[in-house]
Amino acid sequence: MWKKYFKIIGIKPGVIIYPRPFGRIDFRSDNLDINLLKNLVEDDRNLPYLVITEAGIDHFYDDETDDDNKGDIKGNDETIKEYTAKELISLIKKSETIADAFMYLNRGHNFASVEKAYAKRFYELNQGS
Amino acid sequence: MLFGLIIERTMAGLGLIQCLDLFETTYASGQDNTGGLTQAWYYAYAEDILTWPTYVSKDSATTPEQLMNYAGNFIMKPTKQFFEGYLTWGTGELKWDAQGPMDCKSSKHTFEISRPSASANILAFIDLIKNANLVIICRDKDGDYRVIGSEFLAAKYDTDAGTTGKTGEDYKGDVITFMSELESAPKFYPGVIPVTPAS
Repeated sequence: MWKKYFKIIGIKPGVIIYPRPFGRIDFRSDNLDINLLKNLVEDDRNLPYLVITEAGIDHFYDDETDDDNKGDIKGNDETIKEYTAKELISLIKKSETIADAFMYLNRGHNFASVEKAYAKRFYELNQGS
Repeated sequence: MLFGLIIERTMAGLGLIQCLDLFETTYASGQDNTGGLTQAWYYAYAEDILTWPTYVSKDSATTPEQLMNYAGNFIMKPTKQFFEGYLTWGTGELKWDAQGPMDCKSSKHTFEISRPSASANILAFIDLIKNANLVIICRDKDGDYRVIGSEFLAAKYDTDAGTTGKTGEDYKGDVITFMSELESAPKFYPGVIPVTPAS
């Protein structure tokens, strides 16, 4: 089931020893905990070899009707700037690098739709690398 | 060991090149501090590593963790991987000893294991690695991984005492040591160990 939501890249299916709290994960198994894998791909340390699929993005990041909500977040120039979820999604879609997309994600963590857009863009950029 | 190395100041007219200042080394009671290594350890040919994790030198480290931890991950060349080894519980030990004369101090690392069985499998392993350049990762009982062998100076098979034993009360297997050296004690590795081939 996990293989529908996640994909391994850069290695053949097998054992990877991840740092704490994840530990040993055998990707040959069909019975891995999808919530553990979600935590792994979301880990701030950018742990390698596992990415989320588009089906995983759809499954984990539900669309919410928050497009009209506004974020009260700092802009690059340190002045307070408000972005709508729609604006952030647009900026993430246009991002050329994961770092750029991540910057906009940081401005909209409170929006599920922004997280979904980031996860999708992250997947796309990883596919291209 | 590092205390005298990590401060930028002038002593008797001689400048020391450091960035990190000295810090308290008190010890909080009640914390975990279990001796010994766990039974799994990991090894690879140094030549099979595509990119190494990095660490900062003492002239640019700003925290003790930065000085002693690798950053990033071991990335292997296509089809290459780390392999898992086994050691008998209670026999694995990683040692770091000061070496060199005054003003030339560095650290010699010794990794010792007892590997049971005098089978063809383990003897072939020893034959393969006896003159090879290796990198080894072991895990202590507090869960920290440490690396023996660096990008520019690999770990080497050093000594081996193999025996069938004489009686049923004897150990049958090999006591193997690997060694390397570095300017410091072995670095910690908080990264990922790929025990499956890179594609």
